[in-house]
Amino acid sequence: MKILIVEDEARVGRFIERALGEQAYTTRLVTTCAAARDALADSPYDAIVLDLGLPDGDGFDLLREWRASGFNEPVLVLSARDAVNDRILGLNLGADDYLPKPFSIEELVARLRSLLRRQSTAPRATTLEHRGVRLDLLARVATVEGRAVDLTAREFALLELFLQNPRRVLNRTLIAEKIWDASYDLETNLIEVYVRRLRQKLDQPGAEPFIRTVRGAGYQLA
Amino acid sequence: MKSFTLRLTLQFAGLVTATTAIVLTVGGFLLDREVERSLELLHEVEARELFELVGNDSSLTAAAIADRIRHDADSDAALFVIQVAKTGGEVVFRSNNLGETILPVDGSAPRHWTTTIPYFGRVHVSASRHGPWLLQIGSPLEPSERLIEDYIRISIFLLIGSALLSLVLGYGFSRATLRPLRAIEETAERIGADHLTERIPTPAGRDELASLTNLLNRMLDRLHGSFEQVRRFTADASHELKTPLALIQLNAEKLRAKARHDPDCAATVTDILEEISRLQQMIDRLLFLAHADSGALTTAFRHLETQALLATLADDAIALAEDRHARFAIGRNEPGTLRGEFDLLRQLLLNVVGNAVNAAPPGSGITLESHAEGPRWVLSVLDEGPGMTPAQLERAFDRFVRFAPPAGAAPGPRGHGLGLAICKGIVELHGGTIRLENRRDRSGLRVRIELPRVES
Repeated sequence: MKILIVEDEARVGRFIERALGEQAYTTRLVTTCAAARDALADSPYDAIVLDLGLPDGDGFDLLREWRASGFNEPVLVLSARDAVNDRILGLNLGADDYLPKPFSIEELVARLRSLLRRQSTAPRATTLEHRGVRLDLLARVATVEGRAVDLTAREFALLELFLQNPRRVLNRTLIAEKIWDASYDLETNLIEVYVRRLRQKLDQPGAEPFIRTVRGAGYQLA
Repeated sequence: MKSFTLRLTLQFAGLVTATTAIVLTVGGFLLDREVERSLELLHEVEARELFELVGNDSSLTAAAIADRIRHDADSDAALFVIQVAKTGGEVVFRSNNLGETILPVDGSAPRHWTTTIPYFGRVHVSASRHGPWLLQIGSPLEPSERLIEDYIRISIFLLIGSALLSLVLGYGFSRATLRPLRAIEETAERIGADHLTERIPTPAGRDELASLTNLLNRMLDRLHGSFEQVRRFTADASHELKTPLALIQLNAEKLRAKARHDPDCAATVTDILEEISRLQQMIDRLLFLAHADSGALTTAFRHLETQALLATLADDAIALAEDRHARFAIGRNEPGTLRGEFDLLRQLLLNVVGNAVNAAPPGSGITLESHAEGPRWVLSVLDEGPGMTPAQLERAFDRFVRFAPPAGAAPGPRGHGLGLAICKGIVELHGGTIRLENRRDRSGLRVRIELPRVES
């Protein structure tokens, strides 16, 4: 898997390079639009991590060019700019995902991996299971150790998100985006409240909480 | 007809009518004077004629004088009354048509006056001195009075006619005059933060309207410039602030990975990461406010059904309330439509409900009500907490203001003090108002949000 990183802030770029390298991806880091065009003309890439603010142009222009010329691999847009407008514009122009700065490197790796997996058209599971919690996506039924648990629609969606990303730390922005379809921050402690409700319904007495809080990062299945 | 067009039309008609009235009145006076002057000229001619007949001899008897001028006086009896007096004041001849009347004789001559005599009615009299005689000749004013009357009647018709005509012409005139203003109005209507590039078409010529249009267009240029500046500033600021923040976060994560076996160090790094995430949220909110303040926020407004909007919110609001052992209920919920961005309105309502939940004592209720009131949609969130002091009410919408939780209540989630400022920004973006007031029926706070309604 070869990944092109277009990021003008060299130190951020090297961080991404190193992190993706640890995951055994081959990477190439470029810092300008011109270099990005050359790189893509030289050799094919399986995915692109694209920063928007580049010294010699706008990342959106590159994205538009690539999509117009038939480049179909996933593009993950990174931006420090106004999240809402850029997210909408980026997704309209054919970006596959959008990550606002500052971001967690684990989050970037996780999102990229999920983009590449989506690309490989593996059949999606219809039941998800983790530590005795079982979610039937077709029947919309949740069970803990075989015992049915009553979940609201939001709780079900949130649990599904966690079970589909078993090892990944999910941050507030991502949860708000996936469950509430929100492009603005939800402002309240709504996510915290729903995680608490899920814990009350799923946790076994005396056992470790089903969902654990990763301070400063988000939530993760335990 | 708009009031300005109406006003202009009326002013135009008034002006034209008043001018016509003044011209006609002045004409009437001139006509009146001209009629008198022509009478006086006739009197002068007649006086000379009489003087030729009477001659210069002052010793003539009244009978002799009558003899000399009676014939002439009688033949002009329809036109003139005649009285002849000696310079001393003794009247020596009076024409028959004077009847009993004796015209007053005083020494000053020539002079003209108007008097009334039984046979002719009003008579204009001229007195002139010729030789030893004071000749007084008068003419009836009736024919000239009839002329003036006719003149006045015609003038009134002309005045009414000109008033009606000037109303019609004035309407056309004011419409034509205001056409460039309407063009300005229409363009200005279209220009919002999203269409700041549009300009008012400049009318041909170099008149006042053209310079007004140019002035407005220059103002729009400056406005456009400052909007662009705000947009660029917020974009630059977020880039400049977030890129170093991204680096700090990446480094902190690396540190945490390395310090896995040193719990103290790992805890410190976790604190740093938590603060980074708070800082990031704060930057996002401040940028949102900066955008909303400048009107530079691009929004996707759609028609929203209020009942559906509240229904989709209810689950989340119930979850928020239950978490603090309070009850949430939707009270009065009338159907209605408004224009807005769902995402923003949800953020607004969740925020307000979240605040109410934090103020609510355990077991108390929070009610959301919505109803139409004239052209507005009124939405109220009522809690049963302690309400706010007047000082708190005044400062509630300020930025970075945080109030201590009410006594006895469990501390709520740690906020940034921007929540209500953002609420206000969202409400104003939708053209509405938000107000806090203490409940009158019981202790508690009522948040009243008014948004423009759309007729469905």
